[in-house]
Amino acid sequence: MGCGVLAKRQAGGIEISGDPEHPSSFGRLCSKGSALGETLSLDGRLLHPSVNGVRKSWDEALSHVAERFQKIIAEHGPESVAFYVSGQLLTEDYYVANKLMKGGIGTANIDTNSRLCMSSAVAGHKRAFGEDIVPVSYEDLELADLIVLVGSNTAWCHPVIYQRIAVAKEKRPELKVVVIDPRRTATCELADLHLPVKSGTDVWLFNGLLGFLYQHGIADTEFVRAHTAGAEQTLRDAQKSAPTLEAVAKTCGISTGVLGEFYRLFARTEKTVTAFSQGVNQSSSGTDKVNAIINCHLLTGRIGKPGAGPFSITGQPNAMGGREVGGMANMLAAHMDFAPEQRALVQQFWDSPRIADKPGLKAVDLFEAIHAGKVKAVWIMATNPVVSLPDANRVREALQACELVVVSDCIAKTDTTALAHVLLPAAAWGEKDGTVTNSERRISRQRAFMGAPGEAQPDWWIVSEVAKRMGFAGFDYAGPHAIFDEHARLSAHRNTGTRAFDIGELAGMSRDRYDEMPPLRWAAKSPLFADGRFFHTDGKARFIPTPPRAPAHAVSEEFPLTLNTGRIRDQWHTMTRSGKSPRLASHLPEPYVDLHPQDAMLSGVREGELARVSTRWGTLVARAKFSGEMRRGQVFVPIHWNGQVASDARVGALVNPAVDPVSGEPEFKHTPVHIEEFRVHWHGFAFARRPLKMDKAAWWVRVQGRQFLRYELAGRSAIADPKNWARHLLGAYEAGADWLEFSDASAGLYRAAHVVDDQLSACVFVSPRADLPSRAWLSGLFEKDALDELDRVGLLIGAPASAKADAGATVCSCFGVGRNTILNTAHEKNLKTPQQVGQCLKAGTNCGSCLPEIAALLAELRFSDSNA
Amino acid sequence: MSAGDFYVDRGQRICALEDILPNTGVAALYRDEAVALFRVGESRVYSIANHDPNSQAAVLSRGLVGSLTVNGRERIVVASPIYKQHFDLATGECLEAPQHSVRAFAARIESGDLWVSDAVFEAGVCDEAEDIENLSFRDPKRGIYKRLALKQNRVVGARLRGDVKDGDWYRELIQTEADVSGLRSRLLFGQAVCQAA
Repeated sequence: MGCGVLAKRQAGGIEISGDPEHPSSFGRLCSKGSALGETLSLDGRLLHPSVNGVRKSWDEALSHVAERFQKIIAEHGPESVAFYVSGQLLTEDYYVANKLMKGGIGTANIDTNSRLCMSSAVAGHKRAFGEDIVPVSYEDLELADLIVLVGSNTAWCHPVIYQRIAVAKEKRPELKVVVIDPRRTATCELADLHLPVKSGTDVWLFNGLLGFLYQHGIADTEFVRAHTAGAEQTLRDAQKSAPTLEAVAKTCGISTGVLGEFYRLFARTEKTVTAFSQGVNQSSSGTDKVNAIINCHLLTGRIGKPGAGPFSITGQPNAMGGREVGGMANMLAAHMDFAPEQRALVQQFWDSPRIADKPGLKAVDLFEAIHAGKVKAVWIMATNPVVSLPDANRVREALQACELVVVSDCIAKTDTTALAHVLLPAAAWGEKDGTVTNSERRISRQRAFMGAPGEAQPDWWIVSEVAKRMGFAGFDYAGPHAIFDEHARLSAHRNTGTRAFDIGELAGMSRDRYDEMPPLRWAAKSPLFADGRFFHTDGKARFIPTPPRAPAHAVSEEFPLTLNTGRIRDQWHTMTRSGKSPRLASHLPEPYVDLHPQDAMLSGVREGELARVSTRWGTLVARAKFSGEMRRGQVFVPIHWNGQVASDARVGALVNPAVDPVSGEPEFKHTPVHIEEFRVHWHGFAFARRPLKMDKAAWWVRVQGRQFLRYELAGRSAIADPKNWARHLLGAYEAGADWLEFSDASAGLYRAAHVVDDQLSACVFVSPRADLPSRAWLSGLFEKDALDELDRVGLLIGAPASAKADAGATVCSCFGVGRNTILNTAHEKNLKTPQQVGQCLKAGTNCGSCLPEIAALLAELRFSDSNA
Repeated sequence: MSAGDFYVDRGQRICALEDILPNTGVAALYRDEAVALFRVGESRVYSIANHDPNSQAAVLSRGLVGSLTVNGRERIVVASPIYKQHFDLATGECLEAPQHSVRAFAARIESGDLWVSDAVFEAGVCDEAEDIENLSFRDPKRGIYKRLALKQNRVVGARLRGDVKDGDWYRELIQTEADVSGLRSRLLFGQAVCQAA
C-alpha cells in the first residue's frame, strides 16, 4: 500500500500515527501499521558483525566478505556468487546491491523475495505493455463503477485500500465489488458477488470473459485496431479453451448463474478496475493469468482512463522500488533489459569493468544452484528464505552445504541467520533514510527518526563498503541522496521517451531538498496509456494468447486436497518483526489449518485439535479450524510461523517448487496435500515472564504477550509426575516457592502457578483434551502488581472467580477489544452497525482492519437473536 | 497430595480466655502470622488474620465486633477500624469486597485457655480406592489444602485445611448425592465460584 507514517518521539517510546497529508493513505494505518511502535524494541536485534560465530570489527568483517567473494569469483567465475535480497530494502539499498552484482561482479545473479509475490505481474506487464508499468492509481478505485478483486484478500492484506473502497462504496452504493477467490475471505463482506472458483482456474475464467465480451459487442474495435496487436489469435485461443458459459462454470466449479452475472456486470460497466494480488501471481501459470486479465482490458479499451484498468497490488513496502532499480535476475537496471544497446548504455553510465550479459538465476533456481554446488557464495539481505521459499527444507540443506553464506539483517535469530557464516547488523526501518515506491508508482521518503543501535549500519553502506574493498569504483556515496540522484539520472540517461520510467526531473537534488521531498507519483502528468501509446518498439500493446494450464501438481489418492497459503490480518511475513508485537499476536496467535468440515471428517480431523498436514515435500502440525471460508477440497495454512516461534509450522517446507515458466514465481497457492489427525496424549499451555525451554513438548508455539510469553503445547506421551514436570518446565526449583496447584488425576487435569513477590510469574495448564480455559483472562493477571485473594482462586480455574466477563479473543488489535465484549455490548445496547460498535467501544475506529470481522459478529448475533 | 497435608495438629496456646474482655479482640503471633482473636459473648471464640487487605494495615483485632443478617442468615463479623468493611469471623470472608477476604483459623477453648490451629474440615470418606477419584488443590503460601473424593460424579468425601468456608456446602453435596459432573473443574474452588460459572 505504501502508507504515510508519522513517528513522534515520546517519553517511553515512539508514537506512531498515520500521515493525514500522505496522498495514498490520507492518515489511515492498518493494524500492522498502528503497531509499528511495538516492533522497535531492541530485543533480539543483531548488533555486531561476526564471522563464524566470533565477533569482529566492521573492517574485519567487510574485508572478510570482500576477500572471500573475490577468491570464489577468481576460482569459479562470477556466476558462482549471488545476492538474494528483499522488498524490505529501500530503493537506494537495492540500487547499490544491483549495481555491485550486475555492473561490478558482472553477473545477474541477484534476485529478491519479490520473485515470490509479484514477478508474474512484472512479466505480464512487460509482455502486454513492453514495460513493467502499473497504469492505475488508488484514486481509480474510487472513480470506478466496478472493482473486481482477484486472488486478493484486500481486507486483511491491504486494509487501507479496502477502507478506501469501503468508504467509496458507502458514498456510492452503485459501485459494485466482485471478489474472485477460492476462499470466502473477510474481503467478501464488502462484495456484491463472490465467485469461489477452484484454485488455479483463473485463466479459464478470464478467457471466457474475453470471448463473452467479444461476442456481445463490447470490444472497443477502434482502440484494438489502432493500439494493439495479437487480438485475433488471442481471441481464437480464448474461445477454444472457454467455449461456453457452462464449460467455464464447470471448470471453475461455480454456478452458471453466478458466472453469467459477473460477465454481464463486467460487460456493461465501462469504468472497471481489475485488482489482483498473490492469488493470481503465485501460480505456475501466473503470468498467463495476468495477461488473461489484461487482455480483457485491452479488448474493451478500459485502460489509461480514469477509473479503469488492470491493477497489480503488491505485497511488500518496496517491491516496486526494487522493480524500478532492476533488482531482479531478469532485469538489468532502470526498466532496461539485456539487449546489447541497453547493456552498453548502462555499462557506459556506470563505467563498469564488465556488465551482466544475460539474465541470472531466479529465486528457486538460485537456491537449487546453491544446492548443486554451482553457486558457492550467497549474500542474503533482509529476508528469511528458510521460511519463505517453497520446498524450504531443501533451501535449508542448500545453505548448510554452501561454502559462504553472508546474512545482513536487523534480527539476530532467524531460521536463516542460524545458517550464516558471516552476520552483518543492518539498520531497521526507523533508523534508515531513503525512498520506497508503492503499487501506484508513488515514491515516498522514509526518514530516520532514531539512531541505529550497536554497530548496525544501513544496507547501502554495507554493500558499498564491500564493493570498495573488492576494488570497484563508483561506490563512494555521500549518502542516500547521492544514490537516489544517480538512480534518477540513470532512468533518464539517453531516454528519448522509449522508457516510461524516467524520474530525471528528480535528479540533482541537494541533501536538503531530498530530505524534504514530498510523496509523488512518477509519470503522473497525464495517465499512462491515455494516448494509446505503449512501450513495445511499435508503440502498441500486445494481446497474449493464454491457453490455460492446470496447476503443475494434480491432487491424487495419496494427496487428495489442495493446499493454499497466504497471510493473516495482523502478521507481515515470517514474524521476525511483527512477531514482536503483543497486539498483533493476539488476533490469531497460533498456526492453523483451515478446511471444510466434510474434508476434516473424511481425514479424521476435529476442529480445535491438532492435524498433521503433509505434502511430497514436507509436513507441519497445526490446529484445525473451520472458518466457513473454505470450499470442499481446499485447505489453507498461513505463511508466517517460523522455526523460532513454533516447533513445526513452516508452511514453506510443504510448498511445491514448481514455478511459472516466464516469471519464475512459485506456485504457493496449489500443492496437493494429505491431512490426518495428530494424536496427542495431552494439550496444554504455559505463560511465563521469561522464555521457557521447550524440551518437554512434542509440539509448541510461542506467542508474544505484553508482559509474558505464552506457549501452546501438546505432548505425545503421558506426564508421569506432573508436579516435577511443571516445576522443571516453569523453572521453579526452589523449595519454598509460592506454588499453587490443582490436580484431577483421573481426569488427566493438572494446573500449577508460580507466584513471586505476589506477582504471577508463570503458570501451566494441562488437559487430555483441547478444551483449556480462555487465555485472555489469564494474560490480564500478568499486568497486576499483586494478585488479590480472588485472583489466586481464579488463577487455577483459568477464569474470574466472580462473574466478571471474559473479554474473549481479540478482534480490534488497536484498542484491545475482545469478541465477547463486542457481542455482549451489541446485544445489550442493540447495536446494529460496526459504526455504532465503534462509538460504544472504540473498536474498529483506528485502523479499521477489524471492521469486516465486527460486521460478521453482528451478523452472527442477528442470526442467533432471531433464532432465540 | 500427601496425607501429611491433613495431619492432626493441636495448634498453639495463645493466652487464658479471661485475658480477653468479652466482645473484643486481641492480636497474637501464630506460626509467623499475625492473627486476630475475638471473644464473642462469654465463651465463643474466633480467629482470622489480623492484616486488613483494604487498608493494608494489621488492625482487624481492634475492630468492632457485631452481627449482621445477610440473606436471612446471621453472621458474626468484625468491622475494620479503618474503612469499616465487615469480615465474617467464621470464614474470613470480606462481605463488601470478597477479593479482600482473609484467612480464617480454628479457635477453641481448652481448660480455660484459648488455642488457635489451622481451620480444618472433614466430611465423608477420602480413602484411596479403585473407584474413587481424587481432586486436590494446594496453596501452601496461604496454608490452604483441599481434597475432594468423587465416586461416579458424586462427592463422597471432603477434607479442607486453611479455607473451610465451603465445608457446609460440600457436606450438603455429600448428603444429597448431587451429580457434580458439570462443575468438576470448579468444584474445589467453592460454591460461589461454581455459581458464577
